[in-house]
Parts: sequence; C-alpha cells; structure tokens
Amino acid sequence: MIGGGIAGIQSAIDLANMGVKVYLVESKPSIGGRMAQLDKTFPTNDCAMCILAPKMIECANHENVELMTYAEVVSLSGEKGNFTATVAKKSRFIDEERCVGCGDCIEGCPVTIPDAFNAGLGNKKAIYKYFPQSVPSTFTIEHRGTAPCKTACPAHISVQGYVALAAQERFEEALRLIKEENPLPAICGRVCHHPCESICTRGEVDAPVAIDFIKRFVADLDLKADTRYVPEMKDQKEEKAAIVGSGPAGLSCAYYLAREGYPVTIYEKAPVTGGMLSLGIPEYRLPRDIIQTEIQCIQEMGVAIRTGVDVGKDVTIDQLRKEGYKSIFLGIGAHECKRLGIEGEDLEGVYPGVDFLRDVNLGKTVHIGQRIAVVGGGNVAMDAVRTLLRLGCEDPFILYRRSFDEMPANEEEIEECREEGIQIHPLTNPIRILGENGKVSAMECIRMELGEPD
Amino acid sequence: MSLRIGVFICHCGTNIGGTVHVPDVVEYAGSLPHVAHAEGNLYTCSEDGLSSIREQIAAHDLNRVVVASCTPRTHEPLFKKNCEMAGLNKYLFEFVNLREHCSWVHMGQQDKATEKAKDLVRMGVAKVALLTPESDLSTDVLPTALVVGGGITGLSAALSLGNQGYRVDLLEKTDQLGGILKGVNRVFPSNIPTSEFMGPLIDKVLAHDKIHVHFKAELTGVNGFIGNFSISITEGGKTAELNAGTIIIAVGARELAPKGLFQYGELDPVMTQLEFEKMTEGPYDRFKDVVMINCVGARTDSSPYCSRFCCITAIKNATLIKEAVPDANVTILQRDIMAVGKVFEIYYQKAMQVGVRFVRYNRNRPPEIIGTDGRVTGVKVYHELMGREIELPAEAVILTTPLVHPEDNQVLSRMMKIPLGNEGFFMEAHQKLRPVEFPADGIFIAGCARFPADITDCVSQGYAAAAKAAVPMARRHVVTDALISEVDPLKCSGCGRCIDICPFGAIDWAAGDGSQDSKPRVARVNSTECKGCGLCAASCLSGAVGLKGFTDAEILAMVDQSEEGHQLAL
Repeated sequence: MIGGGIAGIQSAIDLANMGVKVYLVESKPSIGGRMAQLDKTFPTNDCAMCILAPKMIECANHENVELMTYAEVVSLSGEKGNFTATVAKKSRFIDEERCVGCGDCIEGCPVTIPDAFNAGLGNKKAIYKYFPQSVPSTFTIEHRGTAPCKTACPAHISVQGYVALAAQERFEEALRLIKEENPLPAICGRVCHHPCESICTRGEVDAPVAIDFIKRFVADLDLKADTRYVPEMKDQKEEKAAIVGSGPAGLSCAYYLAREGYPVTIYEKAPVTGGMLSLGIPEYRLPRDIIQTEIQCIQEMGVAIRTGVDVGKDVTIDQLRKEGYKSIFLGIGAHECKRLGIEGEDLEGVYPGVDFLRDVNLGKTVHIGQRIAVVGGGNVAMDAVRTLLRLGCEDPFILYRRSFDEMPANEEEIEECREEGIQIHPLTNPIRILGENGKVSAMECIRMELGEPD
Repeated sequence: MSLRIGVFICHCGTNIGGTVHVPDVVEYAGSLPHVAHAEGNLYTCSEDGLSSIREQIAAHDLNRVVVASCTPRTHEPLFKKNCEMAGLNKYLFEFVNLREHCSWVHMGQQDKATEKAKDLVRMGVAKVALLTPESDLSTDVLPTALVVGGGITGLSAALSLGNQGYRVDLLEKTDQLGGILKGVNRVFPSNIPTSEFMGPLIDKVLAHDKIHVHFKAELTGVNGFIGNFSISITEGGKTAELNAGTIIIAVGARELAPKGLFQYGELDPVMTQLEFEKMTEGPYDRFKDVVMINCVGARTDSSPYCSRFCCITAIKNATLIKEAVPDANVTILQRDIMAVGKVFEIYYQKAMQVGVRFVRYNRNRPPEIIGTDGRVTGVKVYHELMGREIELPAEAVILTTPLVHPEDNQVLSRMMKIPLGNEGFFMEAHQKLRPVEFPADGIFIAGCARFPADITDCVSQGYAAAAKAAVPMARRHVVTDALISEVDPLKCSGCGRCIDICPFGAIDWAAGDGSQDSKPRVARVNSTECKGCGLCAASCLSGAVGLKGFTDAEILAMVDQSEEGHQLAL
C-alpha cells in the first residue's frame, strides 16, 4: 500500500482484516496524510484527528500490517500476483527501536525551524515528532545535510550546533559540543583562520556569523569558571601510550586517548609545552596563560607531560617500548623553514621566520636592527613583522610577491599590520641579499606582475 | 482481588485542557478510593498516551481503567483494545466524556468546568469499580452474499464478490439487469453508448458460475444476523428461501417525474432528460430549438439536496444535439452548474465551445413555458445579467430532474431495520468513516440507494461494499461486543414491549417446550443481533432486561456519586 493517508489506512485495515499481509509505505514520518493536518471535517464538522487517530492506531497495531514510514517505494518489478517492491527507508537519525517518544529531546535541541506540518505557521525543533498523535510516535531529526561551516572546519566541529546552543545562552552545552571535536577551543578561538566563516551562508546576506569569536567566548567562560568542564572518561585501561610533541596534534591525541581511558605521557623537547602554539605564535596574539589553562585541562584528565626530553636523544623509541608503552604517537611538528634559494641567504641577520619567532618566544636575545624586511604574506610573516615592531624595531616592513588579494594571511592580521603603520610592498620579490662583512646590508628586488593563478 | 483503578485524563490539546484544569482533576482523581494511579496526557489517544496506559497497567497492576477524554463513539474501541493489549479484560474499562459533556459546553468557565470534570471522573470511577469481565461473542459467517438490485452498482458488487469466490444471489425486481442505465443512450464524459460497457458487464454476471441472478424477484422477509441471514423472496411470483452471510443493498433510485411543474404533461413535448433519451427515433437530430431547464424539483425548500450529476446529464444531451445538428439552438437554463468531478469542468467548457448556451435563472423568477394548441413554442426567462425577460423559441423543452428514492424504500427499511435519511435514501452508518455500511453488522449499502451517484461512484461504492462484505466472509467468523442485553426469564412478564421497541430485531420469544400452553412466554435476546443500545432495558416495566456494562447497580452508583460527598458504596 503506497500512501498512508486515510485511503491507504482504511484499505490496509480492510485487507489486513481479510487476512492479507499489508506493507504500508508512507513518505512522511507518520501515517495520517493530509487529513491529519485538518482541524474539522465537513459536513459534520467533527474533529479530523478524532476520526483519524483511532484508525491510525488500529492500522499500526494490526498484526497483518507492517508500517514503513519515512520510506518510499523506489522500484517495482514483477507482475500481478507477484510484485517485488524496493523500499528506500529514510533515516530518522534516531534509534527507532529505542525511542519511546518521551519528547525530552525537544528540550535539548537548540535548532528551531518552520514546521511544515503546520504549513509553516508555527515552529518546531530540528528533532521533532511529526504531530502529537503521530503513528508511530517515534521522533525524527530533520537532517538537511552537513552544514558548510562544519564541512569547512578542519576539526569538523558541529559549528551549527554550538552556535545555536550559544544563541540560547546554553554555553556549557556549547563547550561540551565543541570539545567533542576540539580540545583547544580557547586557543582556536584566538588563532584559527576560521574557514567556517568564509563559507558561512549568512555572509551571502550581510556578514558571516562570528563563529570563531563565539567559540572563544564560550571557551573563555569555562576558563574563568570555578569548576571547569572536564570530559567524562571511560574506565581506566592498562595499555600506556607515549606521545612525542606537545603541540596541538600531540595534545589532541592525548585528550582523546585519555577519554578512552588510556594512561598517556607526552614528551616535549622544548622547555615549554604547546609546540607551535607557544613557539610560533606571538604572545600578543595568543596569551601564554590561555595556552597553559587549556593544557591544564588535559593534564587534569591524567595526562602527564615531560618537557625538555628530546626523544631520539634523551630517550629512544626502544626505551619507551621497554618502559611499557604500547603505542607511540609522533606529533613532532614542522619547525624547519623552507629556504628561499637566493644568493645571500646565509648572511648574518637573515632569519627563517619560524626560527625567529621561536627564539623570541623562548626569550632568547635576538639581535635586530632598525630597518627589517619580512618576506612573505602569510600569518607567519605578519606575526614576525608585528613582533619586530614590539621588539623596538622602528621600520619593519613586508615584501610580498603577489598582490594584497592573494595574501594568505588573515584579513584582520593584514588590517592590524596597517593600523600599526607597517608598510606592505606587494608585487615585490627579492632576488638576492647583499651583505657587508658577512652581515646583511641590502636586498635586491624585482617588481612582479600577476600571472594566471596557479 | 482488591480494586486497583487507573485514571487517565486527556487534555485533548486545548479541547479539554483549554477549559478544564486537568492537573487539578488528575490530583483529585488520585485521591479517590481505589485509584492506584492517575495521570494527565496531552492526547491519550496518541501512541504515547496508549503506551503509557499499557505501562501503568503493568507498573501498578491496574485491574480497572478509566479514560476521561472525548467521545466513546470514535475512541472507545481504541482504548478497549489497548487495555486488551496490556492483558486487561477490555470490559473493565470505563469512558468519561470530558469534552462533549464538559469542556465544549462550559468554555470560559474554567473553575466550574474543572469541578464538573471532577464529578464526571468520580462517577466514572464509581462505575468502573462495579464492572465485570466479559468475553466477546463469536459467530460463524456463511461465505455467501445477497445483493439487492441489478443496476450498475449491484452488478459491480456481485461481480467483485463472485470473482473473489463467494456465492452471490442477485435480486432484480424487473426481468432485465441494468437498472436506470437501461434507459440511458450514452454516458458522460466519454459519450460512448451505454450498451458498450453494460452489455459485457451483464453478460459476465449472467455467465458467472458463482452468481445466481433472480429476476422479477423481491425481498419479502429478512431474519437472522451477520453470518447467517434467512431471506425470503418472491421470484416470478413464487416464494423462495435463501441464506446469506452478508447483504448489500443496491436498490438504486429513480428519476423524478415533475408532475405539476413547467406544464409537464400538459404541453408537448415537455419531457425529462431520461424521457428524451428514451425517444426511439434518433433523438439527437430531432429538434432544432431546444431549451433545457435544470434543477426542476431539486434544491427546493421541500427537497433541498443537489442530485450531483443532472447538470452533467443536461450538458451531455445538449452537446450531443449540437453535434448532431450544428445549427441547432440549445439553451440550458440553470441556477448553478455543478460540474464537480474528474474532467467535468472541461466537459462543461466543451459544451460552451460547441455552442450550447447557458442562461442563469433566478429561483424566484422561474422560466415560463409558452405554447399554443398544446404544443410548446418557446420559453420566457428573466435574464439576470441583461436585467430583462427574454423569449427563446423552442420545439421541445427538456426538464432536468433529480434522482429520488424508490417508493418502496420504507418497506425495505422496516423489513431490515435499516435507517433512511431525510431525503428518503438509505443512511450509512457514518458519513465519513463507514460510508458503505449500515449500523447493523453484515448489511452494506452502495450506489444511488445511498445518494445520487454517477456511474464512477456507483461502481466504486459497489466494489467498496463488496470489499467490506468480503472481510467477515474471508474470516468465516465475526466477533461481536459482549455488552448486550439479557432477559431474566424469572422477571419477564411476556409483555413484548422490548420486542416491539428493538430497532435491530434482536429480541424474540423464547421457544417454550410446546407441550404446556400454561408456561409463560418470555423474551429472549439474540446475542449477535443485539447492538447494546439499551432501549429494551429502559422500556422493560418488569426490570427483567438488563444491559451488560450498564446495569442498574452501575448506573445507580454513578447517580449516587453525581454529588460530592457520597460514599462509594462497594
């Protein structure tokens, strides 16, 4: 029986009463059809649902009727007397066997959307029962695909979910949701280049939702809270894991293993934890206490961190194995810079950007002059040039081979650079570095032209 | 076993909850004697509510259930079935109507309505405590059907049942099958000759080995009940007896002869649509100036209904005239054109395209037929749009009249205890939910016997009635409700009031032993025919007739509890 309106329901009941097995296929989450949407029915003007509900229940409870709701017949073969139908069942994203229709989920769901059953005149939650007397009374989640922000997010956080929760001031739930996929929300809330916002469809209307700042706000509330959120952990397991490197990769790995109940130890070569967070990103952009507080949460989950241990020198992988580590994760990062490959690159005073930032971040003395060129248009370049300004350099500036439009750095970084008075020279590329007495003295550049994008 | 009553009070959305303060009533119900559990539900009839009842029956070991919600008419079977699913005898259930009996009639009086709701619930609890478990009754069903009427409806129903393998006795009053369609030349909207499809249909029925057609046959008596009706007929003047498990009434209707209207029978030719079609000599090219008048005898104060497809009949005949005689002047005088149905609107527009003229007349200024020497010469009509009277020349006037009920419907109604509606057609059990059934089990209705219907509807209803009739015949048995009347032979005075008053013919005399004339006669209830209406119990002067589920003790317990403060007498 294709169609679970009153006609299909009545036919199914009659056939079932004759002893015929009936499969009733209905595309909506409940049987009832158009009649279920009516208030009164003419000419007796009695309540449509009062007439319909007993029929729906009779049909659903009939031993010879098998309801197939939220399903469609996609193909039919055979002939009179022996048809074979293929039925495609849509997913309710609900365990139909276990849902008792209690409705508690409605309270939990932060997403409000127009209710098609009520012809858009009212709202429903994204998790919903088609109508109060739905048969079956199983709930359904209206899942319209994956949100673009979630797709764009490298961590695949349920962005749409935590934004909706935050909108309802359910900040702790928002944080829990974020921390399902990302253990470092306060950090990412400051330094993520938020591809989610670039793709946010709200941007087509006016401006994208300030997703990253929402994450930062939600995470900061937790940082300041008396009792911080520590994820639930499964029962402690015996197998130990070692992690090499305490950067975002190592910390994430530790976080998820700890949640699974594994004892975890992180080995960090540097004297500080955080990897590139602490060594690459300048403090003005990512305050150190934020990094530490976020890592502290992971430590509270039982993760041990040993700094100043250079795995491979101070301790070998074999030794770690002997110490009982069943798994070892290498999260050693990428701290070497690619060379430009031009003349004069080895002169004193030429710094790879990452090395420069690391030295500054570790508090080492860095000898700089007053006029310093930073080559590149990415975030490392921005960090470097703005750090120079903060170190007292009077005239740091940027050379970038393409135009402003092509700069990979965050737009706000470029903007802030300008606000701080830093010159950016686009379409300018060094071809050699000149020196005097082994030290940098000048740089020869050429003017670039934009070609076809590569 | 101690009483453990569960009370479930429905908000019915805002229907009850908007007027009655349900939480108060729930709290109150929980305080009543023997109530082990009380709860409110948004919709007790939803799967949520029903599953809650089942769960609470198990959790609290409930042995009585009260649902206070809407009307038992639509919902009692649902809740009873639900109790049964939870393992509770379904007759240990009581229904309190908080909607029709309270919230709907006391809107805007929340406090008073809430108090009344408490009263009603208290009464329901008092009654449910006295209910006793009962068992459904089961009856065997003969796999044979009687179809009354050999028109298109009866033929369709008979053929459907015959093809399903059931023996069918088909009664036809005349010596020919086909009913009213025998006199119809062509059928809308295809305009094919009627014989094209009626011939083969009749042949199939006549040749069918499962269908036995009785010509010149009429019902003279029907006894028994679903599963085994004993039927007396006359066939060609001789009497005969039949047995059937189910009966389908398809006696059709007849065209109204408009005596006294529009000089029908006075001027020539003024005729009805069917009379026009019956004209033997090629009727469609017979006249050049034709005026048809619609709604003759229909949609009047005394006969207010619309016969549904007379408009289309007029349009059909008008179109056929125009097709036969393209320069003919055919005008339909109408009050409204009812062209509801698949392609009928297009059919109507096509008539206009071929040149049929439509003029609307006012019911209060009806057209006037003019003639000389007994012959029609024209029709005068007040043209509403032009605001003046116009005169149309006419060689013939055709009156479009509605279908009306057969004259002997009353006889059949009394004989079979099946109800008639205001218009004299048979009335179905429920306009929407049971359109091809009678209240009496096993008797079905289809086609124009129910209400004027076109061929499509007649065939659909014929099939529907056949499908409905096939259900009990396929199962070979029916289960009927246990809540029926019973006669206490010791109290019965043999007055016969209950026999006369029973609308279902369910009560007769118990057979005495025959030998002792002095033995008092007593009434006896046939359990399958009794619908549990209670008329007999109410009318019995001796208090001999009781209705299960509504015993005096149960009713009096409710009366006793109708005022607060009475002690529950158990």
